[in-house]
Amino acid sequence: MMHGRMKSRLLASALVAVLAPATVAATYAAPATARAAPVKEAKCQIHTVLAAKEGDGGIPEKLRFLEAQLKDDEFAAYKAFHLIEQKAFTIKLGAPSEISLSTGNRLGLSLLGNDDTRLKLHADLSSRDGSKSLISADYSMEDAGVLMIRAGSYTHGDIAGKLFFAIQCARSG
Amino acid sequence: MTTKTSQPVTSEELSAYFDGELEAERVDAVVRALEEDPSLRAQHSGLGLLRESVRTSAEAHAQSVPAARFEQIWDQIDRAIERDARLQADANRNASIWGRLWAALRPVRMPVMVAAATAAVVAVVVAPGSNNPEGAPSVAEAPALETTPVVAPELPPRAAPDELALGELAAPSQPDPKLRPMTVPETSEAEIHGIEFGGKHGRISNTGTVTVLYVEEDETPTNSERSL
Repeated sequence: MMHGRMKSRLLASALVAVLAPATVAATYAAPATARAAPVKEAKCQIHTVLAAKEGDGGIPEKLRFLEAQLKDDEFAAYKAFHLIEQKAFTIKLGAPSEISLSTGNRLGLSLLGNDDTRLKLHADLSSRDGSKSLISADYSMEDAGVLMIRAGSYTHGDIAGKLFFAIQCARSG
Repeated sequence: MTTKTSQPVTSEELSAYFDGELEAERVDAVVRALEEDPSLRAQHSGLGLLRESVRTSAEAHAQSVPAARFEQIWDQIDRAIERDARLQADANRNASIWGRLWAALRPVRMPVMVAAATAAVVAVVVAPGSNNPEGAPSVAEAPALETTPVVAPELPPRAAPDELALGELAAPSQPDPKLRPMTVPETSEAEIHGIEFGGKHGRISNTGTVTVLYVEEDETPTNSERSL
């Protein structure tokens, strides 16, 4: 009995001797590694999507990457999705970029900062005639996460529906 | 089977009489035969017993149906209880592994916790001051960009794409003709820090899978023939 207790105490002491410095070192080192490396540049993509309540087109191949989002309840009212436009561009930290879209809207996008997993961004979408800002938002999002902006009704050719802009950004430098 | 009457009464006639289906002209003959022939009366009584027996059996069967249904319900309950018990047993089995592990670590449990607490205290006391004396946030921030509060700016009238005032803005790079879509993370959820709707109304919807900002354009749809 006594022998067993002594053995346990010895084992505990040895374990503490090994674990304590390691734990201190790990805890001390953690903030340095967890501290987000500043992202100076991000690649962004915008997909302009027309969502229609008529038709049975479903999700076209070029929008398959958005399948999970377009099958969400939020889009349950729409039966067909049409890709109107897709653009890729790069934004730099603290330098607002603006891109013109074929719908007439202009999208301003800024990289404001980042943490380990998310980018902090600012988006500004103008109306189609450019006379006013429809929305101005600061948001943070995981790399390549999608922010959707629905900008009202739209007709493309003979297809009428609702206009969606899918905005994605991911750190690149 | 004969009687003293002129025409013998057959079993079929007796059965038909018993069921009340015998022709009227033969009923009297059968009645008379029953009065005179004890064996025929016994046979008639046998038919009565048989009918009673069948009726009793049918009633017993009818009474047994609810019991059978009751058994079915109980079977269902039993199966549900058994399934729950099995799931609980699985959960307990999983828990018992951790329980055993926890029990196995009993001798060193307290020293390890003390060491971890000490390490955490040391780290909290030492870490922030050494690398970050001014307590700057860990999130890298843009150097001089005011983001709060967010105000929707009045934009100038839209110019032709070539004439857009991009001089003050960093011009975006050219679109990649072989654009490959980015792989969307499973939880594509935006955290909105500030928002200003320029239209009459707007709203934010966040389902966990996707974040949608709803804004309203002018009511008249715009035509566009441009497409990729």
